[in-house]
Amino acid sequence: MNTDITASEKPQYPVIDRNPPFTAVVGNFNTLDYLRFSSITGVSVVVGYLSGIIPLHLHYLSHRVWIFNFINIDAGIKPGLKGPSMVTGGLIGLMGGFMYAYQNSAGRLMGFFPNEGEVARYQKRGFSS
Amino acid sequence: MFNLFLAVFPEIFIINATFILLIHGVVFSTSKKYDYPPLVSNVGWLGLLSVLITLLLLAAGAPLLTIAHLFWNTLFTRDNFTYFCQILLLLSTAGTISMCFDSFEQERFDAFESIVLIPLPTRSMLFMISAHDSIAMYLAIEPQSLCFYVIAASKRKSEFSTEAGSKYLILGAFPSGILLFGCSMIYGSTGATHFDQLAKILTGYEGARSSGIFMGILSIAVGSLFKITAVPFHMWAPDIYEGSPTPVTAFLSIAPKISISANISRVFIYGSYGATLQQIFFFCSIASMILGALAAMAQTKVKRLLAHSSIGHVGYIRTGFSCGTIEGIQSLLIGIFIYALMTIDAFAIVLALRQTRVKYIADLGALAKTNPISAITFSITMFSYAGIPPLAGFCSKFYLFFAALGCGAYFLAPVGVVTSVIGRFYYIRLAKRMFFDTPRTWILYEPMDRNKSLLLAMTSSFITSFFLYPSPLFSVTHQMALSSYL
Repeated sequence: MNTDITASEKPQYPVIDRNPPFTAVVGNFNTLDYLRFSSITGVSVVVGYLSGIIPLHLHYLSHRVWIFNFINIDAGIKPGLKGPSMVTGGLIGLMGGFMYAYQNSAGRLMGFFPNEGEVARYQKRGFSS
Repeated sequence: MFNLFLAVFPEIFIINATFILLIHGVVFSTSKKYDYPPLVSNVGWLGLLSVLITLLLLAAGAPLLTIAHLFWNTLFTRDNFTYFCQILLLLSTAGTISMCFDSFEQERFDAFESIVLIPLPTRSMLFMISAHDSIAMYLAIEPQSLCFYVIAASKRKSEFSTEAGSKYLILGAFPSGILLFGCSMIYGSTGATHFDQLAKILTGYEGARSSGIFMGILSIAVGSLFKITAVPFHMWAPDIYEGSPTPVTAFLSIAPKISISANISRVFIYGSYGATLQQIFFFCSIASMILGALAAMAQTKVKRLLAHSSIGHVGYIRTGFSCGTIEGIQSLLIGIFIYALMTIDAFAIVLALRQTRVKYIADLGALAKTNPISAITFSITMFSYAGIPPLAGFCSKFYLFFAALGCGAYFLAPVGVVTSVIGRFYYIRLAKRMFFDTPRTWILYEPMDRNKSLLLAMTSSFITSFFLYPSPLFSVTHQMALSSYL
């Protein structure tokens, strides 16, 4: 099994590291990467929260709760799923945001995305590490 | 080692997100603390979010997804053709999920699993589009098919839905077996499963007619044509499309057509290019166009009419594929893109009308009087399906027939034109029913929800304004078609 990391498309920018390790890629996250990560996570949390507000009339659609409304007339306002849905949305956003940031950071190190910052930083270090 | 998986980040994300949604649904739908809440809308929005993040990972990481191509090239390949088809697939999936929310609530359909079962086959279809090996192709087709069987039967209280799922399971298992048989025949005859190796062995190999290779290629073709509802393997489609829940029908009408068309193009144009099966594909295209046009004329139900229309459109799209030229592939991509948008448009309107128990064409009688905007939008969609200029459907058919004439298929193009003219009968009949007939029963149509309204606005705008500036799509698809030949 050939585990060579060579891409079928040639990198258009200077290659800093052809196959950067995981820690190097995460350590290379810049402000924009963290912004992407946090934006996607934030949006996902908001979507999870808003989608977790289940309107009262929809609770009557669930056959499991329908019978309880005849047995217990003091059922009251249903709590909705804001909290758990926020957590689920947050998990999805965390994973997606991290993958997006990782993709961008690895792409800059491998020379597929514009990487002036990385080139300047590694030139300063003299490509010693 | 971790970087090897950069190439499949979109697929990894969507499968993980689907599992998270499944766990979320299972835990909270059975939670007494939260009073067993209905989760369709909740899971639906999170599912839509997952699909959109997958689209972002795919679109933004395009050049990076080709890394480790030697590792993945035994199974998958990434090129412009793959990107176009995968992006179109994800957009179609997002459109389908956004159609579901209000309609599931209105039909009191409390099964979050049907939402989870939309991104799950999408992941398989992403793999299928990029599959570059017979084994990878089959391993991608099977999970997709299994999810489709389940999702067709997702409305457990409906006999039609259960029947549709059972039929789909039984009828879908045979072509899957035939397809695998074909792959094994080719492997037995050539010792190769990778499309690069098959291309070296099979391209222009006229001796295939008398050997097991021809049987293998034919079996793969039969299996694939069944999945795409091409004539003469189309019998299952109307019953299953009618019995399934309407958002599921929309999904079944669009998504597998995109993935299997892409896969067939890779197998038969890249992997085994030659005249061996071109005549068979020509026949299937012509038969699909003719049957789609004639059979739809007798339909009285809206969903069955759209199912037969879908069979006819498969015939038109197969025309581009049958040519085997770059223009043919380009016209296939244009046809698939425009077909996907038209189908999303049509099913969004049908879904909105189903809420008021519209099932038959005759029930559309009062639509123009009670909801004229919906009637106009539906008419525009039907005229686009019919190929009436200057709508997008006309541009799609024009380019498909143009490609057919360019490759020398002088019989195919006139058949396509004649069947288009015949097909206009039942499309225009819908408009006549809506605008000119006296309604037999006055049905009060409820206002459409916001999700469908936005979806319809976007797709209708594209359908009506595509002719003004078609060159972006033409140049993009030309580039994608070129990459599939390299």
